[in-house]
Amino acid sequence: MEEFSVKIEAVTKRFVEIVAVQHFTLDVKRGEFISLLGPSGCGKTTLLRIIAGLETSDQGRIVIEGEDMTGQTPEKRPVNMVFQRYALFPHMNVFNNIAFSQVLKKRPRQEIQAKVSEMLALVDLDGYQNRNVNELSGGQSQRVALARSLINQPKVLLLDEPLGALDLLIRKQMQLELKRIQRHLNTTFIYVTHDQEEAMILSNRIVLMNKGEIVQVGKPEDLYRLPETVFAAHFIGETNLLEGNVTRINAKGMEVEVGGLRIKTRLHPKVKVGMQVWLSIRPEKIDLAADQPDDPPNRVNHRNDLPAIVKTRTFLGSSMNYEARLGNQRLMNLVTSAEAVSYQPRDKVRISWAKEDTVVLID
Amino acid sequence: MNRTRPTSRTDAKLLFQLAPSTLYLLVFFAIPGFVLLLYSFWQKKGFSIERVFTLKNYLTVLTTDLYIRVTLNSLIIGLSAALLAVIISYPLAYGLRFKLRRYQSTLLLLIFVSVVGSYLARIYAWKSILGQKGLINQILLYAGLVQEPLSFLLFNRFAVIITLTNLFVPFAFLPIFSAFQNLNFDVVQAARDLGAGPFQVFYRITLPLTLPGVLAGFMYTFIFATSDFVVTSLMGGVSGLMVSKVIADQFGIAFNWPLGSALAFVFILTLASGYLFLVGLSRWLNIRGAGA
Repeated sequence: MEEFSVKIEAVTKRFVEIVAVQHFTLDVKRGEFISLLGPSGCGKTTLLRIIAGLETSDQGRIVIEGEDMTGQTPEKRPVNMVFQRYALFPHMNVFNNIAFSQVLKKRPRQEIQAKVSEMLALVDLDGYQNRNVNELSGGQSQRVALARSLINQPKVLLLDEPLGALDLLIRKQMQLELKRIQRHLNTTFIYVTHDQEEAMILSNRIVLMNKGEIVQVGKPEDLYRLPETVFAAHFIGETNLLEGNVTRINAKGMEVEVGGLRIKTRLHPKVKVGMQVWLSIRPEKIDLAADQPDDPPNRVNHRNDLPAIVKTRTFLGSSMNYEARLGNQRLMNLVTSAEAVSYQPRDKVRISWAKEDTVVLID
Repeated sequence: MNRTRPTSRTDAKLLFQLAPSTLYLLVFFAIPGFVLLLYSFWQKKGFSIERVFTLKNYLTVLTTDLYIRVTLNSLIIGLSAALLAVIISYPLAYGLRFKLRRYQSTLLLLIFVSVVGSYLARIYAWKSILGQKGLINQILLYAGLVQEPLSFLLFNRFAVIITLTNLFVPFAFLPIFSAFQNLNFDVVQAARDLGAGPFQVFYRITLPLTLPGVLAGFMYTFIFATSDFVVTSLMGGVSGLMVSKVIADQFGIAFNWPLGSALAFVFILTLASGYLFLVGLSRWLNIRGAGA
């Protein structure tokens, strides 16, 4: 048995004037929940449609369960797709929508009935089989669409922003449902989204894309902790980005000058002294303390500790967000617990963060 | 008191909004229709009309071979023209939706032009195509396929059907095209994705979802073509004679308004039952859908 469920090999797709997917290579493991994440127009949907066979690639090939899919029509591929806007058959009821693929396969009536019931139970829609699809809510429609695809027992389920049209509360609920269903069936899910939070919640791995190319692939926590590019740091989670020049490198770390401030950073294998780099510091990694003039700065060698002035303070229930201005006029966002000592705008404070939490990026 | 006030105000507003269309229908349709209905129960006596209730006109209509034959002829011609118009329109609409999107606006404009273009001009164009010295005969003579011009092309049922089809094709096309425009392409792709081949997609998804448009287009063309009076007058001959021409003659040459009215009402009822049959058929098709 093949190790990989889907192998995407050097796929390129051009539309009239733009390159939608550029030399894209990726292996998807069996039973993996993988997300294609990126801004709109980054080629993620095109790639998904190429896997489904709804679009043809100009170069490269798709291999599913060891079988080359080149030239295979959509109906012959062992994959199924869940569309963003459900795409239910409006002239059929819920039962006939879900049963569609099995009717085409000419399965016996009783078997179809049993399978549809099983699917309805899986997506938590028991008793809905005779409903007209026009009477369903967005969340229910997407459950039917999911059941309609899963009844076909696809080797890979492709999901094109399936929750994009739903409102927030339903979306949160459906995220949990999707994860539960995927674990239960252990089917490979390839999930397209532009919502980084959704990708983090759902995926085993995230494929971050921009302009038709892979930016970075990794587990959600790796992408968050160790982004490799400014784009990745910016796209996934909130961050503070500072531009500066590398002034010193030693075995334990580096020093980067940012507008007159010297900031200690973690090591980066490709960086040399004098290079221009970007620094990414996550808001929740930054600590806030009262400014005590008699205390010497840089108390601890592995931390950055700088004076700042509070600009804004936003209460968010469980946390408190601050904007603080560094000496060189730069604004930093930071998050503290709502229970921590609170500071007011114009308060003089010190902000500090660990050297290890300063990620160096080359653009 | 408080409760009734807004209601009566909205009622007044509704009445105001409906007034123009109601007035129009009343003056130009209901009242003349009612007058005709009265006439149909009166009796022609010489050159005057006797205002005495009688069913004789209806009896005449229902027992005279000619009237039954021309009514049936109208239905046959109307059905044929509607069928042809739909057969022509459906592939065109399909092509415009799925294959020829680039030419969509150009083609729609051309179709629109043909709707607003002169009705009579198009009839005469067909006369000159089908006539003794017409295009077809000229070609056939030139090619040496016939020795003498064919005379059976014009002044018959065939000529009427061809011309009516051409005149009313846009009325079949537009509802069909609109049904195709409303067809969500994702739905078609979902069907492909779920294992339906091109042919299965067509008869399980595309056809049932565009069928309401087909029925609407069919009905428009059928009603227009069946009740057309000009084409049958100008190129109908004997086999292309339609009831509308006979009705017009009763009001004109024969000066028998009561009989003309009775003929008209029998015809309207026939058309209405045809219409209701199609409506019923479309309901039945919609409910059945294309499921298992």
